[in-house]
Amino acid sequence: MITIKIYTRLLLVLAVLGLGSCKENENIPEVKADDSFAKGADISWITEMEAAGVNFYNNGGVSVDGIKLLHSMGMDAVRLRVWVDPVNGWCNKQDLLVKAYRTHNLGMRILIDFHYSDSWADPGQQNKPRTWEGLSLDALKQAVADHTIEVLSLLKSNGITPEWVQVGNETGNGMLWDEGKASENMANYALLNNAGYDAVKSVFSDAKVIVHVHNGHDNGLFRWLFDGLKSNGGKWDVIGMSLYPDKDNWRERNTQCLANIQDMNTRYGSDVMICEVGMSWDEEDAAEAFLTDLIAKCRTVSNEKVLGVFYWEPLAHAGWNGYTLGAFDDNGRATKALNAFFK
Amino acid sequence: MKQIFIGLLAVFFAACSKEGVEPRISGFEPATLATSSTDVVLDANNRKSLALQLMWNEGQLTSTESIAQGTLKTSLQFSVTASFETIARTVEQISSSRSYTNEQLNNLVMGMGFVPLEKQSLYVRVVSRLANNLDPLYSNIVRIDITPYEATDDGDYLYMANSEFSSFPWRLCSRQENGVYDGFVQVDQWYNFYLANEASADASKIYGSYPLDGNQYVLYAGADRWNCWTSNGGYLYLTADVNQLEWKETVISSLTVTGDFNGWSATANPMTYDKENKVWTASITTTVAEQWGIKILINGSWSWFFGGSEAEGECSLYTSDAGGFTYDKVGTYTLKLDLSDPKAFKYSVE
Repeated sequence: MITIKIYTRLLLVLAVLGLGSCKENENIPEVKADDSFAKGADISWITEMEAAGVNFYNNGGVSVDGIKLLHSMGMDAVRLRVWVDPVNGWCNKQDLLVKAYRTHNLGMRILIDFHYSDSWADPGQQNKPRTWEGLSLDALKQAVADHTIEVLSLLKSNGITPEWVQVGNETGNGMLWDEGKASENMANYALLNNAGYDAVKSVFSDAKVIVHVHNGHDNGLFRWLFDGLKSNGGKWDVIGMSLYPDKDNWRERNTQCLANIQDMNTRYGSDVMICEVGMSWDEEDAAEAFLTDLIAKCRTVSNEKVLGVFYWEPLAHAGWNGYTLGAFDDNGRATKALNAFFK
Repeated sequence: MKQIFIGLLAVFFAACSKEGVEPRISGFEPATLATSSTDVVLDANNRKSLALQLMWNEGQLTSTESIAQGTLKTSLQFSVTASFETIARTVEQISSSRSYTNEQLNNLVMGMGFVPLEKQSLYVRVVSRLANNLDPLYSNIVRIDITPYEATDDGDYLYMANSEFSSFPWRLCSRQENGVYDGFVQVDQWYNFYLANEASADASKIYGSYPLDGNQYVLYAGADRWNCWTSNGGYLYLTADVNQLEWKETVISSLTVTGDFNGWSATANPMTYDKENKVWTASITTTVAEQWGIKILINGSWSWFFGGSEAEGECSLYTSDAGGFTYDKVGTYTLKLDLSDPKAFKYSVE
């Protein structure tokens, strides 16, 4: 009799919990098994944010793991940058492993982004790692290969296989300046790029190598760079793009980006990955509309020639590192922008 | 016990499923723990640099029915012995990795009784729990040899100076070293002050307010600065943002202790300020150790309070969801809260 009483009480409690869990699960979108389009996010800041006490919350206001949160919302891929010897350690190869390991254990797909620098490599700076300064071109090629193999082997020895690997980050004017500055010596850039390409394939023969360029709307830039790479024997599997429009110009930018994607498909036969997108976190309506339209446009490209879209650091919020183009609000909750990935 | 639980889980999931289906949970396995290093010499000159990372595979729970996020609870346990006879620290985990800067790891091991400059072993394991009535599972144990440094009073402070620079009664701290300082002060109404980066009239940076009416809360370091002042006085929470060049004040009207012991009341156990010793005190009576720890609410707010911290005898200031801080004394004791050093808010139970 006592047992029955306890059982009944627990039943009541569990029924309530059970209802709660049903409600929560209603929000998790179904992922179509045959949909290979990557819905991803760059979350490279997450370990540093966690160590600084930054929290992420689900819609119920419960503090949760940021990667699991994105996963539960339907994201299936993660992009991770790696620096050679960063000042405070964050985004070095060990920190990369930690994030890749967590991502892998959730069954998500992985894109590794080599910057070949100790800090940010982007259109404004492609600084060599401190320990690579003064190296000859041949030694630089070797350093690119060694670093690429070292990092990817670390992943491999932990059972992690990236699906895509970026050789260089936003290398619209090459990488490893000045030797690899494309506007000054496209042939050098192609050699350095190929050192990375071959190194990737030597560890993961099936990984698709991405060459990633900023301003995905700028067809002139892409033609200039990839014509240059091609004529110098440069190798790539996928053309990567960044696209950061604002609330006023996103329609025009998306149209230009789609035209650029189609040109890259026909001109080089290349698949395209949208490696980075973002818009101001407090323009969430515009951001949702921009991303919904961009993803729809990408999906209209025939033969699945667009592989996916990655939001850059959506978890950044509340002024983290001064970055304002995340997709979480000041209270650490996802904005509407991310809804675009789950339509 | 296990069978009963699984039976109950069946009921739990039956709430979501059609009749006749017997849901099962699988994948509740011990975690596999790995460390980035097994020998760490902590570096006082690179306090903010990454020193150690722990990562683990906690397994993926799968169920014949959909399963709520957060069903599996994991925590890290730290001990100075491989047998874990005494667990020095337990850290609840939301994510399946933990990263420590030199400073954070130094604080952790010094709080466990490590001696500066002496190598000692730290043992770590992951505990996985599916429910309180089911035995937890333990991961492999990882041993890390750690040599800590002698901690110094090296916080990033702004000192509150009186208008004559003859006294520096309080200080604010930027715990993230990001130019945003905060702290608790107790001053008279119309108190005039400056905020300086050293406790000296010769400090290299001295902020007052902008020398134009209506700019009381604008920080300004020019030679023609006016002093700052508070029209409130009393016990105040001050923030100063040297990036945005502004400061703010919030009057603290109450600190109240809340926990299981008083049914999580926001008002039942107010603290009293002891001006002479610069501490807040309250008498607390418990009949069992506080299962969830306790919180100290500021101005009765559930979203502005002192809650859990990793370091022994410390609590942290939160403006969002967080757990309470450890309180395992049973009986009637005096809880003391010392907010005078905003680098670390300290509490004691006597």
